[in-house]
Amino acid sequence: MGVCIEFQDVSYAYPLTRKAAVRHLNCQLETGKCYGVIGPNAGGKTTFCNLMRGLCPNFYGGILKGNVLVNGKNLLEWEEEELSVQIGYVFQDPFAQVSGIKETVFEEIGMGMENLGVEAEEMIKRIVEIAKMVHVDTLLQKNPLALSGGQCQRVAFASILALNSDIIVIDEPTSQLDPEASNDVFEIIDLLKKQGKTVIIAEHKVDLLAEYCDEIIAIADGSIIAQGSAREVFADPVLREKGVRIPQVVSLALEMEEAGTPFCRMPITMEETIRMLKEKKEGK
Amino acid sequence: MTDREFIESFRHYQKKGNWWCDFHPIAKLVFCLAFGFMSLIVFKWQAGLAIFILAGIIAIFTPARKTYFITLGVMFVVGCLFTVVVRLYVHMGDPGPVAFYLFGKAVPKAAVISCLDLIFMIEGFLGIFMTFFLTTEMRDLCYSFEQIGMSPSATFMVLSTFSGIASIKEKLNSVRESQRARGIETEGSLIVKIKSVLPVLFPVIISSMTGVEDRTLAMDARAFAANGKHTALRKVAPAKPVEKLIAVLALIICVAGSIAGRIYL
Repeated sequence: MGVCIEFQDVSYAYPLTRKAAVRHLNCQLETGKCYGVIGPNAGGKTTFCNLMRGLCPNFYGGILKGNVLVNGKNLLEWEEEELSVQIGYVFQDPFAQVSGIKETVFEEIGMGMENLGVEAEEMIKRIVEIAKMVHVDTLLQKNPLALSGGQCQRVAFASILALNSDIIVIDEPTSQLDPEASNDVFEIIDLLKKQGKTVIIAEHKVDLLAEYCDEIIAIADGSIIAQGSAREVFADPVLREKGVRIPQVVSLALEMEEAGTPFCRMPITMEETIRMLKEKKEGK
Repeated sequence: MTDREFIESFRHYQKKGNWWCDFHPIAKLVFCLAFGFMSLIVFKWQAGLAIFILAGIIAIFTPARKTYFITLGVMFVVGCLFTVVVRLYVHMGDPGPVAFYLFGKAVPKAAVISCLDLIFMIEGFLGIFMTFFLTTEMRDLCYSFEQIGMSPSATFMVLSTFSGIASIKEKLNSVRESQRARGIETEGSLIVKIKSVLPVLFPVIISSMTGVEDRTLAMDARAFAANGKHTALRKVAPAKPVEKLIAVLALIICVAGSIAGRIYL
């Protein structure tokens, strides 16, 4: 798989701050993979996402050191409008993503395509497809501002998917959603994975990340402290040292290990844990 | 409307099935601007009344007739009557031919005519613009302007300003609901309502302004800055020749009527 985003010794400080929000970031993100970005609050997750999307420094200003390469081209060489098509960005607050000028969900989803000059018939076709995909096909006539948090987040996803970006960055999409709506969001992420999109999702719900992501990037105090498969990263003791949340099943496995009854390998999902516990009980 | 019908509606020109609502937005704006400004320029009750009647006739034949007459009625009672009372009070006892006596004092004819001029100027101006705003979708007007070369950024500014007003109103309502939940009186007389709204008005406006950054990012995420031609989902029918003719006639009437009105009335 090719590398779509690469951080080369990247440090970034927001304007009017002395301390860098992120320091010496080095990582490569491969095309078609789903990456989970975890870490404590104010650890640098959102800045990491903003750097990929070019909002830092293009929108926020500040000082950027090192190189962020998007599809092999330096971030600063990309035209902003090109970058907005290359990388879709779903923000934390679902209501902040509503344009406010469209009166129906149907038109809201189509807005990005209008900006790209897509012909009306093609827009209608894509909106209908995407609306079905993210289960907002029953909301098409509703006002986007009158939706619930979960519905609004789905519409935000649909609006970004309509742009057909190959890379999708999602910043804490479930922070304002109930568990059911959070699961819905991850179902959409799963669909994106199946479509071969590169998904980068910053999130606190580590149990869901462990289930859906190919790789986890742990960020704390502005630095990447671990990167690798979910199993490797969640088992890494540095996460506990830095106060990074780990899945409940990993905590259980670690406690069992301390109690002298370890699993044969670290489970990372509930199903896996149940299966391994059954095997353990049966003495396999 | 079913979802299928709704989706299908985007494949055709947007129609509401009413001649005035479906009038081309720019032609309609020109028509209303012409008569609205004529009412202002002439500033005589005869011209104002004529425009007011014209607006009323148009409104009767639209689905917005109820809102039109209620709103205009409220404006008339609150605004115009207040102006009349003040004007008559100020001019009571002035020299000149007497129209009638009020509380034992003479009210001159000139004061009554001046009141009528003001009332019908306001009613004519508001009336004709209400027939425009109550029957025209801003998005269609903006799209029509985009078609004749206005930039998408400018149309976005217009639309977001209108939606910003609606969002401030919505926020005010939520704050009032919260206040009510905390036991603060928000219902009752006009003074009680004003008292409940005034303390939160400024913070609500400021909080709406802080949403600008979010809005900018949201627009950026939708490739708003993308180069090239923007397209539109909603289709607005081009202006028919008769609509163009009506708009041009309105302009001619405005110019001629304004000159004649200033000279002869």
